[in-house]
Amino acid sequence: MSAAALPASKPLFEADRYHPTFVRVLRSEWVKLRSLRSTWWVLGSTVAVMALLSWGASAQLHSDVRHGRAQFTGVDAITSGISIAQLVVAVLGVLVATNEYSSGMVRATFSAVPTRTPVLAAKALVVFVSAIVAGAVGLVLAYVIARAVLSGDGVMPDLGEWTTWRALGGSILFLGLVALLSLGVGLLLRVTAGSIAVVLGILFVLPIVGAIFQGNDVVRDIAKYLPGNAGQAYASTTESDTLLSPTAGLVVSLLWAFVPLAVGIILTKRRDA
Amino acid sequence: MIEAHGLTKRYGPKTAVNGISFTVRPGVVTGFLGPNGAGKSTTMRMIMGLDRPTAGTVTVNGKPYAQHRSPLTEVGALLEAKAVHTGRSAANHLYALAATHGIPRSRVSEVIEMTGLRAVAKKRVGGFSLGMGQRLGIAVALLGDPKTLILDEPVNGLDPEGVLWVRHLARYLASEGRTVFLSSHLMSEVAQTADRVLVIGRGEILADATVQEFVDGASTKTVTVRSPEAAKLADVLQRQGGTVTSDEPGLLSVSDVEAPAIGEAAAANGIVLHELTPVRSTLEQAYMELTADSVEYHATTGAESAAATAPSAEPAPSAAAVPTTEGDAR
Repeated sequence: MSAAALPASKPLFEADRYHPTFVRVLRSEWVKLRSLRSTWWVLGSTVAVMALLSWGASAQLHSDVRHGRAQFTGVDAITSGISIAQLVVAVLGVLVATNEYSSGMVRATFSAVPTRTPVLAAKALVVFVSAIVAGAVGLVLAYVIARAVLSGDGVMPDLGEWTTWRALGGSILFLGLVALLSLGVGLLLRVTAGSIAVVLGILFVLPIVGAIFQGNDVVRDIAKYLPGNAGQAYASTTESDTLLSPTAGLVVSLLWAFVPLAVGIILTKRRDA
Repeated sequence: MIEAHGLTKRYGPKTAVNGISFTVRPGVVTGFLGPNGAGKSTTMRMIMGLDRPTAGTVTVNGKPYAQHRSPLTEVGALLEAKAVHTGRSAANHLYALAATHGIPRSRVSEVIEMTGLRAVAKKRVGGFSLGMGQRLGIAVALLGDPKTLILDEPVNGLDPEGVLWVRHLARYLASEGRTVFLSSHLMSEVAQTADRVLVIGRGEILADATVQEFVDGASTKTVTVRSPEAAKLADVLQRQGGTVTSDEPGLLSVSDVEAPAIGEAAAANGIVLHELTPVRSTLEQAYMELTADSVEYHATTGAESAAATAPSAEPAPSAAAVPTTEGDAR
C-alpha cells in the first residue's frame, strides 16, 4: 500500500488496541438492550405476571385445600405465572432480533462487526440472562406471596427436596430457553409481527390444538414434544404419562431453543443485511 | 483506497450492479453520481460487506472489508439516514457502536460535538428531523477516526448550513489523506464537493473522471449571438459549417463554430454584433445527457401515465392560488 493511502496524521485508534472482541460486543448488545424502554416494560411485566398469577393460583389452592379438593401443588401455584410470562419474554426475544431490521440499525451493527456471529451470540446471551434474571426475581416474589397466602395449609413445597428445586429452577430456565427460541425465529423471519405470530403459535396455539385432540394417541404423543409441554416435564414436581420424563423434556426444550437459533445465525451470516 | 473489479449484484432477474470496476483514491473526494435506482447504495453496501456480490470483488485498503481487524477504524460509513432505533438516544446509539471496538465514551462526546448534536444527544432519536438523523449518521461514520469514509447521500435533508458543513468536512477529511467516497443524485452537489466523479446509471459506470474532465467531455458548447442582422449572419455561419437556431428575432444560438471564428466572420462581412457569449452547458445538463438513457423511472407522457400525472398536476393551480388568498386575508 502506498504511503498516500494512509492519513497524514497518526490515527486516534490503533487497530491493535481498538477492535471487536466478544466481551466488547457483549457490552455493546447490553447497551442496546438496556437503552430501550420496551426492555424494561417487558422485564417488569414478566416479574409482575409471575407475582400476580402466583397470588391468584395460591388463593385458589388455599380455598381448594379448605374444601379438601386440591387439584394442584404449591409449586404449581408458585410457577403458574410461567404460562403468561413465556409470552412476554418471547416478545423480548423477537424484538432483540427484529428491531435491528425494522430500524435499519443492522447495517451499522454488521458494519462494526462484519463477522456477525459475535453479535448474534452476544444477543443470545443478553436476552437469555435478562429473561432468567426477570424470571428469578418474579419467582422469588411469587414464592413470598404463595407462602403468605398458603400459610398453615401444608401445601408449600419442601425446599429440602431436589424436585422442588428442579421445578423452580426449571421454570426459570424455561423462560430463558423460550427467549432464545424467539430470538431464533426473529432472526429467521426478520419482521416483528410475523415472528411474534409464529412464536405465539408454537407456544400458545399448538398446545390448545393438542388439548382438543388429546383423545388421539398420535396427537397426544406429538403434543409431548411442544415447548410448553416439554418444559412442564421438568418445571413441575409432578410426573404424568402425558408428559416426557424430566430429562427428555429438558433435551427437547434445548433443541427448541438452539435449533432455530443456530439456523437463524447461519442464515443471517449468509444473507444480505 | 477502494478497488472494485467486475462487481455485480443481481436480485433474481434484475441486475442492480453490472460488472463495474473502479478505483476510489485517497486524498481526494470522489463523488458517486447517478439517478435513483442506478445502483449507488447497492455498490456501497457491497463495499461494506453487507450485501454479497453475485460476482466480482471489492476491497478497501487492500482487503475485503470484513477481513479488517478493526473495521470501524478502517472505514466509517453513513448508509442511510435515521437507521437508528427510534426509542434509543443518539448518545446510546453511538456508544453501543463504539463499545464493539473498545472506543471510549470520550470519543462519543467528541463526535457529538463535531456534528453539532450536543443539545439533542440524550433525546430519543424518534423525534429527530431528517437533518439531525443525517448528522447522527455522520457522527457514526466519524466514530473510529477511519482512513476511509463512505457516505450515501450525506446532504439529504440537511439545511443550507448543514450542506456547507458536509462539504467542508469531506474536503478536510480528504486533505488529511483519507479516502472520501460520497454519493449523490445531484450533479451540482458533487461538483461543489468532489474532485473526481464516478457516474453510474442502470448498474454500469458511465464516466470515471475528474469533475473538470467530465464537464468538458460531456458538454456541448454553444455561442449566443445578438445582432441586428441576425439572418445574414446565420447564412454566413451556416456556410462555415455551423448549426444555427433562433428563439427570437435578432438572437442566434450557434454551435460547431467557436466564438472567435464567429466574431471574425461578422467583421469580414461587416455585420454588427451586440453580443457574443460562449455558453457552456451546465454540469447538470452534462449529467442529464449522460444518464438520459439510464434513468430508471422516467416521467413519461404516455396514455397510461396520463392518469397518474393528472391528479398531481391538479394541485398546482390551487397551490398557486394560496398566496393570493393569504394576501386577501391580510
